[in-house]
Amino acid sequence: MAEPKSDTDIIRACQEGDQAAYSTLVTRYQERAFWVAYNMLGNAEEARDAAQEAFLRVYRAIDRFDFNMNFYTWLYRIVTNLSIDRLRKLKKNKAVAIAGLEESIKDPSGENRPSHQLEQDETKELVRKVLERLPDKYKSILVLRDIEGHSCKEIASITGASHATVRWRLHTARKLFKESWERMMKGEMGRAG
Amino acid sequence: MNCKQINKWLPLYVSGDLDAPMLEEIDSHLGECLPCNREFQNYNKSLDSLKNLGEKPDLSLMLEGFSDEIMEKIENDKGGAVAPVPRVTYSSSSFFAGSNFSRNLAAAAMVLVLISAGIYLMNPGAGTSEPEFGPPGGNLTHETATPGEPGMKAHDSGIEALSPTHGFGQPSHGAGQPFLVSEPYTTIDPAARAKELDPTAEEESDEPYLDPLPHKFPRVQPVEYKRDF
Repeated sequence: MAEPKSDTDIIRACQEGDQAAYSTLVTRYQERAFWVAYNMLGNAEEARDAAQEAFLRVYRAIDRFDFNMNFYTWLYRIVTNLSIDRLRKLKKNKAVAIAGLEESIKDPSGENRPSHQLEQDETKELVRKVLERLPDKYKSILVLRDIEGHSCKEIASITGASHATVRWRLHTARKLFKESWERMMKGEMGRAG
Repeated sequence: MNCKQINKWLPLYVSGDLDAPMLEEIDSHLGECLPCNREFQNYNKSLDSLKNLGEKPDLSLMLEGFSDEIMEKIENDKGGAVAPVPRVTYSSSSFFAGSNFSRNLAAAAMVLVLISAGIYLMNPGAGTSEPEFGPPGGNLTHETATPGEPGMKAHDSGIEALSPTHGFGQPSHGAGQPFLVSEPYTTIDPAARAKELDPTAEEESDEPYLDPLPHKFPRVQPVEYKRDF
């Protein structure tokens, strides 16, 4: 069985005009791109569109790819920036309803879901609501660090900010999230009580 | 570090995003201080809630046909907006090449401006004097002209010397209208007009004009440079 090609090989093939090679790259990264966009946007359809747009932009600029950079760093940067742009537009046109992924792709026979699973889904929805309230620059850092699990150095190269700036934003973002999360939980408990 | 300082670093301590000495210091403090430890647990809980979002569900349904759609868009837009934009390298000799053209144009304009400025500085009077509105054939060396002489500037002698259409539209023959030319300048005899304005002035001679001031400085002879290439 042939070994899978590296990103660099695929990109070189794309630069030489091999369009089919790009399909391999899309398949390899589509889930990650979608997932970052979804965690930023909180809306499956919007996330799908943002991820597709990111891949199209990457294809347009593939000839200018800097081989000193990781492909996924480049892709994440485009996805994150496009998601932030979309968030701004969504905030302007508040008419777009935020539909959770769980709503979009959950088991059609939802009745069979165990109660603890439903509880977890509810908690996730609450977390998303808290994330929704954070300023975009803090939200993107939390998504990349705490949800995606990237290191601060990786985030610095993705966002184009310095390492110190990323750490500072992470510090503020976690503080804001915790405060908001605690308020939300107190509110939930008050309603339950 | 006191509790306030420890609390300040807790958001980064929870994920170990601090230097080793700082981590150790906070570690030992949390072992002794209950309120700080409680705050640390709160950070941990909020972080755990966030990390739960990282568990990816099965996305295969959501991403069905995802790459095909992209490839279709690329195929449809081939040669258009989605086509890869090749890296263009411009040679220094191609002046009109792509985006270099505007840069080269700006540089050429700058050179022209500098040359003009240099010429102006070397010869400040040239090209900057106001235009002469005197009749054709008049003496245009205004250094020698006394007020009222032909060749003097229009604003020195009044507007009669202006061309009928100069700046004021069609000539008007209406009396008493200021700033309008009553008759075309060709009907004015410059010598008669000068005499009329200044009867004491001497009549213009046909002798060539001689500069009364001798040249103070000898002309600088151009230096011949020996080429060594």
